[in-house]
Amino acid sequence: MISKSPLYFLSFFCGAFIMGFELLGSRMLTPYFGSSIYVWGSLISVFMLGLAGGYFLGGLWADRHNTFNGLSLIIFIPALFITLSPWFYRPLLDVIFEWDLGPQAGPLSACLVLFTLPSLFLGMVSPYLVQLLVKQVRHVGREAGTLYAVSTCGSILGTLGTSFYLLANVGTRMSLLFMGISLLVLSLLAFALGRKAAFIS
Amino acid sequence: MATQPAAAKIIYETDSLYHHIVVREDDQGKRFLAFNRARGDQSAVVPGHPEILTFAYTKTAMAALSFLEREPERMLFIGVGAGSIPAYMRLIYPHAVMDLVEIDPDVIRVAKEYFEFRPDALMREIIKDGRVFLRTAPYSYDFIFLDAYNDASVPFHLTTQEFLSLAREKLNPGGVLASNVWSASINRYFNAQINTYQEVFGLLYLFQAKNTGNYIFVVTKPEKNISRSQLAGKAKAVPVPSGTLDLTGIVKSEFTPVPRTGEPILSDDFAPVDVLRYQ
Repeated sequence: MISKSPLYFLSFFCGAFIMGFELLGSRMLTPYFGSSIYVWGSLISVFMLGLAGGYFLGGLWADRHNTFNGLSLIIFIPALFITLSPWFYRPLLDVIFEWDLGPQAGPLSACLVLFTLPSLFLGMVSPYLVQLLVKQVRHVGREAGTLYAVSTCGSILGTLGTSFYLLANVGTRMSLLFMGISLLVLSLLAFALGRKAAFIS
Repeated sequence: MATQPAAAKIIYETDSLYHHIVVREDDQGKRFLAFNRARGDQSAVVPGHPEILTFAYTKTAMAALSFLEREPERMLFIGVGAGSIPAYMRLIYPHAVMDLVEIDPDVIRVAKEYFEFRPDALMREIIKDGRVFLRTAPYSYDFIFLDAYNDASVPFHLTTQEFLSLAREKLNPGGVLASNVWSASINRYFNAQINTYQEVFGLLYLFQAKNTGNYIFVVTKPEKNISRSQLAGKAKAVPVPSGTLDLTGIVKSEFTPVPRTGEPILSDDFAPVDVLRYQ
């Protein structure tokens, strides 16, 4: 049995980085697709698509196989994607721009390519964490509710921190790198928690 | 950008994709376009009289034409507003092809319906983001005018080194680019914008519209070293409709030395324009 607080910690920062990444998404897309209403519409809907899929798949996976190693992997995949994104997103957007898909399909396609995978995996984190938590506690409703609240508070910090601080001071690519590396650290933390749990049991 | 006269009545108001468009009319029949109820106007027009430039900055913008070496054949306007600037330039250059790029379809509609803006056969209306258009534009231009920034919003992707390099690529040799930059007081954004223009184009010229926060930035390709008095001489040669504008006077009195600044160059990666504007 390990304490709940590291799980809330993971939930909080995964929530923070998903919104931070979404905001950076607008800075990544605008130089290519303009500040049109379609850019924001595409961005938000693709994140919602990823999250919806992630919640669903994360819940399914949690029922079958629910370990800290699994959690570590779920965080590692978007962490790696976001860490490497400063190097690949511009050439990728250049290619999609050249396809000339029009003012709506252009940014929508770009969002699908860039943001589906990371938002899907980050969406899996919450239901997966719920299952890890309820192994330890009896109040499932309260634990699930608290976890979502903590994750959403993280999202508030991620939104404000990115828009008020990161973009104003370090620029888009450095912000992406910061978020990606932070997620890699969270993934390692989840892995370490698994070691500790195995050691205790 | 100017405050509304108290007497002006709202005659039309609508929510468009990008703005809250408000049209006012004063008791002399002059009409004003605003993108917000509380803030200043974007344009002022006496409908049916394109030869009357009402706002100071629209007159100042004409100073950029003194940098041209010959009559422009192809001109590009990014941000159309009520259409007063292209309509006036049409009087000067009757044969130029003009591409008018505007992100908001309702702005062009309102310009036509309420400001008697009448695009002619040599004018092409393009509903697109300015940068998206420029990147795919099949032509290059003799004159580019950027009027897409206002006090409420500065689209960051139209301020950066990458954007200005793209615009420079789309300028013909001898071409001139002018930009309407609004800055109520000298702030860090304004200074960073100056550095970014200089980085991309070399020499930059500034004209401040009388008693306003409107600055017209002018750059050329290749850069041109010209004094205020030489420029005033060239202003005489611009064929403005007689009696409508003292272009020489504007060039002389609104020519503003460019301050030296230490602000960062704006790039696609780092362009916190909304932060810098308040510092």
